[in-house]
Amino acid sequence: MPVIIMLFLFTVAYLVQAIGLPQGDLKNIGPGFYPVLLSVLMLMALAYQFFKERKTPERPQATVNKFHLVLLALLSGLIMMLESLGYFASALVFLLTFSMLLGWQLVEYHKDEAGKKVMIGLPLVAALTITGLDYALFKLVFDFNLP
Amino acid sequence: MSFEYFKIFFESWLIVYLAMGYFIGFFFGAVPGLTATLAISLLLPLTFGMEVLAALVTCVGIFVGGIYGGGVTGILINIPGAPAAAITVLEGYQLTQQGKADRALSHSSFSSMIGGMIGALFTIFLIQYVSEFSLYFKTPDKFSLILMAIVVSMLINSKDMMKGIIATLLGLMLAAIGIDTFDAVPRMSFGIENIREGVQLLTIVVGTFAIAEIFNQLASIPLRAKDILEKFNANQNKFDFKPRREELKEIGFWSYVRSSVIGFLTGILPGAGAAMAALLAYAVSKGFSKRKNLFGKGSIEGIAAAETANNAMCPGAIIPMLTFGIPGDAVTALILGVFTLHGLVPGPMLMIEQADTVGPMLIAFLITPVLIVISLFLFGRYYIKIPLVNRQLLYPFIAFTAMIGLYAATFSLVQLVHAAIIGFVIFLLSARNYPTVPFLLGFILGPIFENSLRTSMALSGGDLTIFLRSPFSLGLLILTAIMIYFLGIRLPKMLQEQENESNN
Repeated sequence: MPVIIMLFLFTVAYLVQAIGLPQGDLKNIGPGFYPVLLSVLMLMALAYQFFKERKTPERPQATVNKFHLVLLALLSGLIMMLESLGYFASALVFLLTFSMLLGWQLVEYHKDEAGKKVMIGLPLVAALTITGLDYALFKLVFDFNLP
Repeated sequence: MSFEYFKIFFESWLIVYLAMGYFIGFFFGAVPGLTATLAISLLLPLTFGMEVLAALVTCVGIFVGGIYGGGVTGILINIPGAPAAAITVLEGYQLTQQGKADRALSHSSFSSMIGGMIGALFTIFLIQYVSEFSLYFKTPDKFSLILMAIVVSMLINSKDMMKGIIATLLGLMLAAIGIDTFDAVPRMSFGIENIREGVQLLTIVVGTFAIAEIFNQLASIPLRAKDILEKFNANQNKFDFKPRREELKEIGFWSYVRSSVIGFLTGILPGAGAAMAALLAYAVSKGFSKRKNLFGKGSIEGIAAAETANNAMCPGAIIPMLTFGIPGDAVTALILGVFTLHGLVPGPMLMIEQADTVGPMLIAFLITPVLIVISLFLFGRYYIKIPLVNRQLLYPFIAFTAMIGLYAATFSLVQLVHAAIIGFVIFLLSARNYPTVPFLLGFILGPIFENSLRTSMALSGGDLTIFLRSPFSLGLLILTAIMIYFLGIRLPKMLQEQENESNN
């Protein structure tokens, strides 16, 4: 249901903007006609899905958990750091913390996996090797400009 | 097709790009959760720094390797790497449990090679004719063809048709954001300066396939190496990958040809894809088989049919993309993206103007299947190690490479923000069974869909019957209606009946 509401809000905002554009006629279709058509079809489909799910609620295969929220924070951190700290520092921090997050997730489900290897060893290996590998790939092989 | 195109592979680095692409695709296909589509989405930003031919040949390697790799993991541990491998898994894992994993791997590889090569030969032989035929296609015909591709892809990739419709519409809506090509008016930018010119393909691809998959991994219980090895329940130390004479006789020459033709034709049909090719060939092969009782219990014939067909599909799927500019599935859509990023426009003229690019690309489809068998003999006994790759190394690599690749290609942090948001939204949608392939196809086909609609209307003076007056357009619309009936109405009913019967 939250997904339908999210899509509904997006579609309404989309429709409002589309209605403000010239519509033209069938002979000379304006820039607003096609987006209006799409948003109306979308609203109809969403309404159908909304009533269907109200009648028989569906359980999603996966729900948002704490690991997702941490990943969102890590991605935000990477985006904020990339240009100010540069490639190496931001890569090392992101890769180390993300690998730690995966280690935390593993331990959460399999308590017997807890240990330094999962929480420190592998994250360090990930941070160092991937930083080097991607630098070699993007900078040395394909000559891209990295921050 | 000139012999020169063969020589290019061995006189330059192309064969290395092809082999690299094949192994990358194979790896991504074989690791559960990863796909060839994800591999190409990581590669897409890198293609800016590559020659177009090298990029395309790498994509072909990834495409073929990904389709084959999906079956390998399925055979060994009962987890299909890709939907196209569902049939191979059904039969192959039974053989693994009987201690015959090597037989299953042997026939999946040889059949893939045969299917891939026959499909490639068909493509090389026919593409010129299809290309010439496409010249007769006028704008209304193109509109109906795109409509068919969108509808078929939606029907095949959706468990719930309404969710498929919503996903497709979302793709079409995002594609309409940006400057209107007819009137040069900015549309639906929500007041955000950075999307005034539209949402970028790279951003959509990275968000949809790389970032969303990372979120997805964090939602599932992580599989450990020992959990995976427990599924590989076959104490097999000796591997004999040579196909045996009696097995080949059991499959039969015509079965290979039949499945190749089915796979190839399914590939040409925009939107159908490898899973449908495998399913159709398997069903037909079962109908013709003298050993029907073995189907579902580890049938080598079944594996051969499915793998021959899904590999023959790959070169077939490239035909509508190259000649009409209409991709049939996610991978060909991304290959179209490589063309677009390098300023090449698929269509009838491509075969004439860019023969030196298209020719070697088609030859790549002929060479890659050979790599399948070579890699089986060289590395087949180690295939079980592929899904054991450590996820604490793998997923940080995917997430970071996707983000840094996007930055390197666009120099824009805003694109990274968009990719992260799109990735999270797509994760939410796929967790609720909204399919991603129709979303991507909607996004990629959206602009030409709208253009062909508006041009057709302008040409006809607003007369909607223009779509019924052209024989090609009418034929395609009838075919679309037939597809809706069979795939959208009949097939779900049949599957429901089968499920009810098996429950009783």
